[in-house]
Amino acid sequence: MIEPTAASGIEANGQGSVDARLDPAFVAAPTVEVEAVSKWFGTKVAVSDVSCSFGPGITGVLGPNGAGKTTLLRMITGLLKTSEGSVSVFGMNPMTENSVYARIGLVPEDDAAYGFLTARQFVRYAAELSRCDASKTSVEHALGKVNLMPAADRRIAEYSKGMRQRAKVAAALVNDPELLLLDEPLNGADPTQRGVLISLFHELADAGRTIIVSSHVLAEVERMTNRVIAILDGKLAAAGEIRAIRQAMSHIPHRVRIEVDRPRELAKALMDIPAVVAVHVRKDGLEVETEDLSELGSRLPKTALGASVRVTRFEPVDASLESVFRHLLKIRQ
Amino acid sequence: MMPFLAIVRVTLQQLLGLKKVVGFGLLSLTPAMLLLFAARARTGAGLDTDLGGLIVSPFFSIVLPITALILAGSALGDERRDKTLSFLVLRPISRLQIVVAKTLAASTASIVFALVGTVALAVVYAMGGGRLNVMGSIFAGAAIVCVVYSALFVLLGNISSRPTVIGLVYILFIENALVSELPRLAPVSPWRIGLAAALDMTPQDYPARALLGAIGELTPSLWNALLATTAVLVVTIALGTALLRKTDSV
Repeated sequence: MIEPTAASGIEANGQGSVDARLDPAFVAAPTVEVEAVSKWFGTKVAVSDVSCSFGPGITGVLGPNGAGKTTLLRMITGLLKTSEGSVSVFGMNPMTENSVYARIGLVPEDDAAYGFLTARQFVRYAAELSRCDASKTSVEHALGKVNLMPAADRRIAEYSKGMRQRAKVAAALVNDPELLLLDEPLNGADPTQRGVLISLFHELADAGRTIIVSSHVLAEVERMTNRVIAILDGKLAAAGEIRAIRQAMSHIPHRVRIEVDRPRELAKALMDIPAVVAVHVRKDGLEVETEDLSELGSRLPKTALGASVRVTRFEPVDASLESVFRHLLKIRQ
Repeated sequence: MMPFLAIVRVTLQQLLGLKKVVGFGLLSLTPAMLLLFAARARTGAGLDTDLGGLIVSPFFSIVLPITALILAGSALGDERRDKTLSFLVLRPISRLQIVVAKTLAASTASIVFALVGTVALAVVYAMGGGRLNVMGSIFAGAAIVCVVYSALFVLLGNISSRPTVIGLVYILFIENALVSELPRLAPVSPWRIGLAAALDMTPQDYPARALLGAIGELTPSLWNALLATTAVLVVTIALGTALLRKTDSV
């Protein structure tokens, strides 16, 4: 189940003690532990008091753009120093112990690949930098995993965004990392390649690797994992099973925009529908808040007919992930 | 050793792309082409003076600094601009190794073009009846210039997003205008340090008046030049390493 999570854990027994087994933000055998971490840039707070842990398998870090996902991932890798709190990876501090990087693979969101290298040279370079097997076999094995062998000797500058993304994944895999951090890894990949990459991540997770995937697309994360850490405005909004997020979405009041020739008449008629919470008359129509979108949808034609008005448009305004997270965050607070 | 050499190799590949090789190759040949024109009209001592003038003016003070500026400025600067720096620093290697490898690669690339320019000058000079024995010292001085500028501009590329503009202002206005007016400031001019080393190694009978005038109040000394080069290397590498350790800037 999903729970709006206290950033520092749940006060399970009312005495302030935290039982990691009860809090869905934590796992029993963590590879990565994030403890009361905050990060601010000047006056802007990017991540605020986030505590969670990650273990073998895939965990999605879910949130809208600008929520703080990349900042959290960069702190886990040691690329960003925490303003407060601590991060530990395999029991080590990545800021001070760079030997930990031999066990980590990172696919950054940035288009970070050397355009003047071929994918083969790029992956070999990654292997050499990680002090691991940089042989032709090892490099080709990594390229083969992402279906990039046919284009292995073309310069990365000539690649499409999806191909560059796959080249980065191959480079991250060449040292057979125990922890793989993927920041929006499916960006730019076509549906077939998405399928290939998702299968690959599942395969790695089944082999006991810890995989942390950040994304702002719920459906994308849903194909990869069942466990998510949801972040909004830098705060931990929720943690747990993805199914529960779907369920939570159905309980959130929805807003619907209706374009109509005589809004006031329709507004009056809509108030008779029990599922309608509020109706706001706007310049170009109505904005309706409802607890049950499908009931409103099914009763609207008859109501419009009864009120002798003509509806030209009916569209949900905020069925976004962000609204779900805001709702969950509101409950938590 | 494997990651260090890999960084040097890939950086050289980055810096020695076809366009850069053609561009900087032509730039390094410019003094030799000018000498070729001069050699048609003169012989003997006159050619020595021309060689001296051409070494000072376009070669040491313009060609070498600008070549090193563009190449070294992009050694770490391009990684920062293209956001590939995280690919490099999230590895089980020290930041010191990264900075040293980048400085070595940038110096090597610049030295390759310095060698091309020096050899071209030597060939044209010999064709006009000059002696080849001055060329070893000129190349050694040019190599010192390349190393010092490379160390400085690798650091500049790490600090600033506009290393070329800042470097050009320094080379053209501070070094080539201000120091010319105030010879006391010659020790802050890397190309003059390299030229002073070259003069120290030049055969005694070589008429080097044009060169001596350019080094201001510096004493022709190879050891002083090596000392200054070492100091610049230590300081720039230490600063560059500290900057890379401050990972928020990556």
